[in-house]
Amino acid sequence: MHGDVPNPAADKAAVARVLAGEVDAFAAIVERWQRPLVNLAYRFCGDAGRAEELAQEAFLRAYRGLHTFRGDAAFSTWLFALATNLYRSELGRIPPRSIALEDAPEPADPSSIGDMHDRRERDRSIRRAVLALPAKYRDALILFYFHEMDLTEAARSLGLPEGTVKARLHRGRELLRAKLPKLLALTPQEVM
Amino acid sequence: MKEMKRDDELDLALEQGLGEGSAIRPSAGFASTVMQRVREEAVAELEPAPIRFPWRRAAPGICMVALVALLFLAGAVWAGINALHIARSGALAIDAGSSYTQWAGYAAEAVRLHLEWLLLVVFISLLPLPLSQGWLEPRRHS
Repeated sequence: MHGDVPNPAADKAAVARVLAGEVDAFAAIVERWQRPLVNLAYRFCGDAGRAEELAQEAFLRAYRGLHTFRGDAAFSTWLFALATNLYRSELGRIPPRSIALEDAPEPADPSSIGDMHDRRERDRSIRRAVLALPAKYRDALILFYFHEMDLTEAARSLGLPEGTVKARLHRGRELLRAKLPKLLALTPQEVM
Repeated sequence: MKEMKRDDELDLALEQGLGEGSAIRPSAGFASTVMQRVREEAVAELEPAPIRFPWRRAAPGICMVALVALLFLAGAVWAGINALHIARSGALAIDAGSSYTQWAGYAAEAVRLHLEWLLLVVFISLLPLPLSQGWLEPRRHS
């Protein structure tokens, strides 16, 4: 999900240069992490424009709080935790335009899913259903799949113990399974 | 085993819905917009902090003003009570038909009560106002 190959040494070097007063060195950090941060925000709000606004705010907060990065963990861990906190609090303040879980739409005829357009529609239905979940399950699911199903990374980003995230993932999946039975009845081959 | 299979299906659906497949690209100017805001932030950090009000230096002056205001208030109350007392006892004989006589009576009574000191105190306490506003400085002609 992170797109570019992680380069912790380059991140730490850029951080050191910024902290030494070289503001333009922050551009390397923005270039490297813009796609993951925008995409993480997009997972939370489902709106590309708002995702960029949220990501921009996350970068600004990262710049302001760069001196708090101690360097004992990867810069990406610190950045994702900061961004996740911001996105969650901002979405708590102004919720995304979503619908109640029970009203989340399912394709009228799932058997018709066969081409790319229908697959996109299905992905959209999944995203809507996830956004309609209670926040704690929504956040766990978004972070888990954003980090390519890495439970440890998801737990770090959320600032929660792995056991808690695991329990929330389980409950979130149960809610989704109950909501989207027809959609999930299809095998991957049928979807492709 | 069946439950596991269903989880796999759900994982696949979630991966497709929330994973790389549904990723978006930041707009072309995103990075430069962020950097512009970061530079603005950096410039703002370099600007000197606003000068704090010098409370320690101003404290004696503030105390003086408070004291004068208190004295003025006490004097006004004292003068008011006396005036009321005199009016009630009929000592202040005023010819209601002549305003000149009336004002002369007021002036005489004011002198008797030493209200000139009160006026002086009021004048001194109000003096900082025109001085601070520059009202007393000679006007510059442009």
